[in-house]
Amino acid sequence: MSTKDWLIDWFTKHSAISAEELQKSTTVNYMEAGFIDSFSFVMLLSDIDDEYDILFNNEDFLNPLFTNIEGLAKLIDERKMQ
Amino acid sequence: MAFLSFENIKIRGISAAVPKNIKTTASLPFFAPGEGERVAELTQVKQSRIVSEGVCASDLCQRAAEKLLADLHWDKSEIDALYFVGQARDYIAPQTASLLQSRLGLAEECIVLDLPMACQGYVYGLSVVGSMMSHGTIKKALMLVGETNSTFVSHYDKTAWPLHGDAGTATALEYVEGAAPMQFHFAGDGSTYKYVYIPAGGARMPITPKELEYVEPAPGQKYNMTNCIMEGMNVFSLAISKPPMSVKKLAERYGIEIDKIDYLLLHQANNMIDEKIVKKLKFDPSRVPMSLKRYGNTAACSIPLNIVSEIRAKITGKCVDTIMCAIGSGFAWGSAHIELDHIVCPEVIEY
Repeated sequence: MSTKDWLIDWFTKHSAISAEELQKSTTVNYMEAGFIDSFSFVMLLSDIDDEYDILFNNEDFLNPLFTNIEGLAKLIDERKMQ
Repeated sequence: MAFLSFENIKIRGISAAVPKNIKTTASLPFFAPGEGERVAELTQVKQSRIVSEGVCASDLCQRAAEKLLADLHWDKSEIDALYFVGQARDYIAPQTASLLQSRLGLAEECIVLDLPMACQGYVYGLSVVGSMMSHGTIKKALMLVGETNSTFVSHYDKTAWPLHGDAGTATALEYVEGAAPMQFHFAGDGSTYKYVYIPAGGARMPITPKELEYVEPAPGQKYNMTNCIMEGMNVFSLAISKPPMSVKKLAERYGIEIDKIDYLLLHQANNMIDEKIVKKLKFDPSRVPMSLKRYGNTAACSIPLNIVSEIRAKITGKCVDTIMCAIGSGFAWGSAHIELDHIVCPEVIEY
């Protein structure tokens, strides 16, 4: 499963948005769009750490790529290569 | 290298007092239908306790101390030192330890000291108290750890208000030749101070009417500058990475086999954080007590409250080996290897 698909699957389980809608919204800011709230965001960080052994920090949070599924998948893939 | 070890200091007892008023997470008025239940499930903070108006952390600590002294049959005149740990001091000045010295009727010949620390306060407090006692001239001491988060946290901030609770605790320590050593590791990063802080009320930003105006930078996160402001994501990132590192450093330095410890006593902030720490340490979750469900995040009180509320029956009459670990605003964190040997531990008091 690609990182992007994993994220779409995660958001499907933890938001009220369907997989189909998420597929069309991968460049949307998921926090501003209300897909998830701050509590769920913490869970997202935790699950990314569990799945990929990657822990993002405050510098990562400032990266615009972090705010949407497409960008977050790219960041995770880059980090996996390191 | 911020390691510390000293001998001959024994914890003789721990007690705790909580307010009678219960705040139930799922019922908080700012949540949409179903939202409160979800937050309670995610964080595992089902409820917490909040003080009535006019009740301070020192009042809770006083009740805990009086009960503990009675159960230990300690004469108040024997207390050589009193420490108050926490940020909810009665006044900016004087220190709360002085007020408690008087209210408890302790002798004039008594060291009194405030340690205005946050969630890491119990671990840091033990290191300070124990270090001073280890010289041998302070025979008996009380460390009173109290917090009323309800006076700092905005009641309109749904990212923070559900999580926090109030409590006061008392820990009695005694100089005893041959007691097991207390061992500590400490670390911190002051550049992260804004991750959890209260901007106004200190010298940097005195309170004026402007600081009392509410702002709402994000929906549901409404506070003023006298409230505790938290960057949840940054806190989470620190909170799941630094504590396990600290415990590992402590274990390596002092040759502790982590999996042989009887109890891992973590600061009670959020279930997701503690679960991650336990997983990273590969520790048995059944030996990690969690008072979070009933009392929420009580800052520096959370470790002693956890002991009293969750494991007092299991440890009464026994000698158990523990690792304590806490991280708090600053940020600063620490872990400690502490033996609890036949400690006196009364039931949680409601006040």
